Amino acid sequence: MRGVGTGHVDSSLHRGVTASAQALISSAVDTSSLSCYSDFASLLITMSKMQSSSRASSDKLSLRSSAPSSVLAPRRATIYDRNVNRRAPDLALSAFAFLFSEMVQYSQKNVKGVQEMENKLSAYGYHVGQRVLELSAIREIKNAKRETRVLGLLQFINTTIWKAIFGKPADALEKSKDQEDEYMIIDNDPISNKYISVPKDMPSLDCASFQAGVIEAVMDGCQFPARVTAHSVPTDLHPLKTVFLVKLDPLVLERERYMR
Amino acid sequence: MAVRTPRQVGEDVWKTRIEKVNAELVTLTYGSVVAQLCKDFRNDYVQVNEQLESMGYNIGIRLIEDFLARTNSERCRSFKDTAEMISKVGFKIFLNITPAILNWSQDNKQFSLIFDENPLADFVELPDDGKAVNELWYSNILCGVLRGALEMVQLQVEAEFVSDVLRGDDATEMKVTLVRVLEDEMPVGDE
Amino acid sequence: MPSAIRLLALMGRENNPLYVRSFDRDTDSDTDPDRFNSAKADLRYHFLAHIALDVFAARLPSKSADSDFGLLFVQDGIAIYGWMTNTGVKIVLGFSSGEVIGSEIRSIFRAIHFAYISLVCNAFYSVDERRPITSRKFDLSVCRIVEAWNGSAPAPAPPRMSTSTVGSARAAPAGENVTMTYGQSRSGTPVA
Repeated sequence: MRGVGTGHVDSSLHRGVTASAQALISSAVDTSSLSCYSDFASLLITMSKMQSSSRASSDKLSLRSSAPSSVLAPRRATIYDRNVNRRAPDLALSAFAFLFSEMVQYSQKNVKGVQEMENKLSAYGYHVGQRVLELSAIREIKNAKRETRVLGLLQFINTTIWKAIFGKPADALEKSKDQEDEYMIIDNDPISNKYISVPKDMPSLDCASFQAGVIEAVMDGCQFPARVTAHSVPTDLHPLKTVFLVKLDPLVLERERYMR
Repeated sequence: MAVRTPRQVGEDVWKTRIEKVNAELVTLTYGSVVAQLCKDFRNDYVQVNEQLESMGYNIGIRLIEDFLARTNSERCRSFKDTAEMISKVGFKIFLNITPAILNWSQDNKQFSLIFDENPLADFVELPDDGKAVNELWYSNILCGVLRGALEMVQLQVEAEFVSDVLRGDDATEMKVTLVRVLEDEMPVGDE
Repeated sequence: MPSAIRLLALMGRENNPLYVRSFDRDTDSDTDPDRFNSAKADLRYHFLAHIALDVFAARLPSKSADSDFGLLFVQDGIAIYGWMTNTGVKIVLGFSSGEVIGSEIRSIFRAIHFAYISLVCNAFYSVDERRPITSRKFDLSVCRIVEAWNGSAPAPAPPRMSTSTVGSARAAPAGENVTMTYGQSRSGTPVA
């Protein structure tokens, strides 16, 4: 293994999921209890009392003036900063629909064709996806982990990420029968197509390119580079049904083989 | 039956008639739009403000239908009532906030909305280029929304931000000024 | 005597330095007339941060999927601990010798991780450019966290609105920030 200079692709080649062998060195550190801290403000307050707090209630921890109860760390002052984890309140879906629709309108200016337009929408989604991925580390504080296998990551997107931004998991995750490097995430009722009418001069435009960008950002962010595209496959039951085709970078496949 | 206050109406509609979406999706999507505009206009923030305002205007003229349909609200009797409706119902049912109404002018044609919270601006730190903090009104889309929506109910207004915590100001304040009423039959003012 | 934080470093997923800062009181350039010493100390911390990267890389194959890398190594009386985010950003903390408790260390790592998340979520921050962090808000956040840990300053009263910290951040002196830019010695392959 190369050292400091190892590029991300190389270093992640060596990622393992086996039980850690680091125990020897870090045995001085108490790693037994991973408490479910999910609150920025009280992070530096001792945690023993909060072990039991559920995810739901921990959302409100910052509002309490949680007095340090343990003898371990009485010296810690409360640090205040933006509590990133404060579960953001919901907004009206129509607020998103209006905004998204303006975004589509604006993107239409000066574009030469549907492809360029979809690339633009995908870029917006990418910007959002990068941030959603970072935020997921807080929301999933208990299960937060670095995804090391492609299937695990796709499942993470299919459920956790989708739920976090669209309020429900995606409808299916499938592997391509013919192509080893292709997966499909399926949404029967994508938010981007639900309330937005496609510009008249671009009937073939698929606004779900936005979500494709989100997926691509999460894949890249977790070091599983992939190209993601949105494809409309209407059915009688689900006229808006969209398949997000995830085509993995060859490096990812190579790494998967190595880890198998 | 007692007349319900705008606050009650807003709360009620928000709870029962609004399909919700995670605020982060809106916050981050709006951020991606503003960041893209800054790129497209090469950090000419005056132009970015204008573009945001006009996007907001387009939203406003369509959003008002949605608003009226959901709230069954009647015409406001005065500009003061209008202000109440904007804050307690309008902002409530779309962004789940109720900005405070302050600083009424003597003639009751101008007020300020003070935003204690602003979901659009979560996480934002303006670019450190010495310009953005003086020129960019990050949430300017909201001004356009107000202008567009009110125009549809015969009120021509000017709306502009005069301070923003993102710029280091103590508060985020939008001034709304009634320019004229587009139809005669609507009385304005406090009688 | 609990141990104090002497070093905080964030390294990007291509091992590019994002933020390196020392919290040495005794060799602070403000108080120490011998500027040479403090410059030497800064250099030493950059060096430690880079050794840490080697340890991260060496442990990664057998590391479980959580963020906590625990104690990486001890050098010159500084205990270096590591943390890796889900996006491959490495956070390195250097403690002076003294008693440290694992759960406390994890809580401070999380606090810094959250400050980083807050930074990245800013619409104007570009993850892809891999430039060192220049955000005053981030600087202020992590300094507060570290200062409170080190017990040297009482935590400021919470402002009502988070975003208002931007305003106070601007007023903060930027004097002792030792964030440095490295030459592009390592070129990671950008994934697009």
